Amino acid sequence: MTQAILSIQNLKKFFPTKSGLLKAIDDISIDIHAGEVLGLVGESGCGKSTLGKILMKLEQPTEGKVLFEGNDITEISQSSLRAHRKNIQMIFQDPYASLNPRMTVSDIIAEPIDIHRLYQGAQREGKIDELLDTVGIDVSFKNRFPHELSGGQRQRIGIARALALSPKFLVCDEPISALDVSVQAQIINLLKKLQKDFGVTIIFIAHDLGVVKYLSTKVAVMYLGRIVEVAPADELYDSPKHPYTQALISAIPIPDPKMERSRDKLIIKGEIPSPVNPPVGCAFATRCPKAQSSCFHKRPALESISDAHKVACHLLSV
Amino acid sequence: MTTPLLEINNLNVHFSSHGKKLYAVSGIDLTLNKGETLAIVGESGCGKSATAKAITKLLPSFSSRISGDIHYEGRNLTHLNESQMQSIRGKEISMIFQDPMTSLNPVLRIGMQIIEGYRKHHPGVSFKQAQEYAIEMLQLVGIPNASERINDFPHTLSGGMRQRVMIALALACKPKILIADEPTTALDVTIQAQILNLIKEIQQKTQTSIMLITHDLSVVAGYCDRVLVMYAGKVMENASVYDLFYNPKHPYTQLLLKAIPKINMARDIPLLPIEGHPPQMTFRLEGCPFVARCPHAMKICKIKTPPAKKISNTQSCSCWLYYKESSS
Repeated sequence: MTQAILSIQNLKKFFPTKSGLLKAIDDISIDIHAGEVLGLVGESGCGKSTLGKILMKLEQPTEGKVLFEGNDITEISQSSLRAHRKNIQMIFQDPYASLNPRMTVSDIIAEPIDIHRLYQGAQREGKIDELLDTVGIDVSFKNRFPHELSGGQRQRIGIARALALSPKFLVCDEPISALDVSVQAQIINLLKKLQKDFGVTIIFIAHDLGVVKYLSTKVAVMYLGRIVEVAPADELYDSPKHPYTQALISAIPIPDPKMERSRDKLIIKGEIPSPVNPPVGCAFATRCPKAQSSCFHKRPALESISDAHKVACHLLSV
Repeated sequence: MTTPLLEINNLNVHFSSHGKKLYAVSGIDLTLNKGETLAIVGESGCGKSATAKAITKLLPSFSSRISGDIHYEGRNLTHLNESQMQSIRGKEISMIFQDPMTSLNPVLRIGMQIIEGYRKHHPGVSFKQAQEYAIEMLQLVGIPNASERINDFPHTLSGGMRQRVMIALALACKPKILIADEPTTALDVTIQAQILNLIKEIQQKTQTSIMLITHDLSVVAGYCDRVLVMYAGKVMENASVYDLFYNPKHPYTQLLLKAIPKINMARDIPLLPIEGHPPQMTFRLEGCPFVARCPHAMKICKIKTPPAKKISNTQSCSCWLYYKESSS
C-alpha cells in the first residue's frame, strides 16, 4: 500500500479544567491514504472535532505526532504555518457563523488567494468564477453578502473558500448538520463530486451515520477520546465488531416503517462517562452489555482482526 | 369513527415585525385522536413549531395573530383568555421543547420545577406529597437516585438527563396531549433512541396522544402512526405512516424521501436533492407553495392553491395532480 498522506501517531490532547484534566483525545493512531474519505463518527464530546482542529493547527496536541506527507505538523512554526494551510483546509459546521457578514461572496472566496498572493487582476477574477462554478453558485452572486444567501448557498461559499488554494486535504466538521434535508443532499453530492474530480482526501466528521456510510471509504468510530473501531465503510456497517459500534449502528433510525418496527434494536443504557474521569479499563465498559471483569481493569489496544479492520475490545482479542 | 381529541380547522398564524408580515401558517387543518402519535414533518421555517405554539398559545400576543379554530374537548382554544389557557396548558396539553439546555429554569432545583407545576394544577396537594410525586416521575423517566437528584440544578445534568427531566415535567399532570417539538434533535443517537423509547413506553401506559414535530423522517418511520407533511405554512400531505413511506403522493413528499441517504444505499448512486429554495413567506402565497421546485408543475399550480384531496381513508394530499379536471 502507498504511504499514508496523513499519519496520526499516539495523539493526545488534554484540556486542564477545574476538576482535573479533560482527556479530549486519549492516544489515537490512524493512517489516512491519499484519495480516501475517512468518516469520523461518535457522540458529542468524543473528541472528533478536537481532532479536526489539531489537523488544522487550531489546537496544539499535548503529546504525539501528526505526519502530513512525512512532516510533523505539530512542530510547524508560526511562520511556516501559511504553507501548511495551503495543504489542509477546513469546512465548518455552521454556515451562518463561518462567513464574515461584512464581506461579499467574491471577497470571502478570494481572501485565501490574496493572502497567498496566488493570482491578481483578471486571473484572480477568473479563479473566483471557476470556484463558484465548481460549487454550483451563479457568478451573479459575487457581490452579494452572506445574509442574502440561504444556508445551503452559504455552505457552498464555505466550500469554495476551502477549495481556493487547491488543498490536498479537507477537514469537514459536520458540514451538513445545520442544513435542511433537501439541501443536505446538494452538499453531499457536491462533496462527492469534489472527491471524484479533484482526488482530495477528506476527513468527514459527523454524527449522522447514514450520511457517513454514503460518503466514506473508511470509517473510524470514536468513544471518549479513543478510536474503538476502524474499518472499510461497508465492512463496518455490515459486520460491526465492537459492542459500541453495534449499538451505534442499531440506534440509527431507518426511514422505512416496516423495517424499523420489525428489527431488534440494541439500546444501550446509561450515558457517556465524563472525559475528565474516564473509566480505567475500556472506556465503554460502563455501558457495555457484554462487559467482563477484565474490561474494567485493562485498556484494550486497537488490534487488527483482518487486513483493514481494527477493533479495541478484549472480547475479540484472544 | 370517534371524535378526535384535537381538531384544528383553517389555522393561520401571522407574525408582524417592523411593519413586515410573515405568513408562518396558512390555513392548515389537522386532527389528533386519542392515543395516537401524529408526526408533523417539514423543513425549517415551514410553520411546524408555530402550529405547536399556536395550540398552546405560547406565541407572543403583540407580534403574532392567530385565526381559525382549535377545538379541544368541546372548547375552542383560540377563544380562551390567558387565565383559562393556564388551566389547560401543562395539565391537559403540555409540551417538550427542542433544547433541553435552555428550557429548564437554571436557578431552580429540578424537583422544585416539577412540584411547582404539579401543585399549581392540584391546589389541594401538600408540598410533601408533591415532592414524593416528583420523585416518582423522575424514576419513571429513568433518572437514577431520583430521591437525591431532585435537589440537583439543571446545569449538573447531561443533555439526555435534562430532556428526561423535561419529559417528567411535561407528563407530571398526566396530560391528554403531549406536543414534542424536536425532542431529540439536540441529542446523540444512542440517547435519542433511549428518549424516543421512553416516550413510547409512557404513551402505552397512559394513552397520551402525541404530536411529534420533527424534520427527521427516520424518526417518524419508527414511532408515529400518522404523518402531516408541511411546506411553507401549508399541509402538503396527511397520511398514515405506511402510506407516506411506501406510497407517497405529493411530489414534495416523494422528493423528500429520495433526498435522504439510506443506510443500505449503494455509494455510486447520487442523492436527489430538491433544487431551489422554499418561497419567501412575507406575502400571502397564491397557488401551491411548492410550484417553483416541483417537477410536475402545471399552469393551475401557480394560480390556485390546491385543496386537500382524499386519496383513501388514510391518505389525503394537496396537489392538483390528483384532480382530473385540472388537466383541462
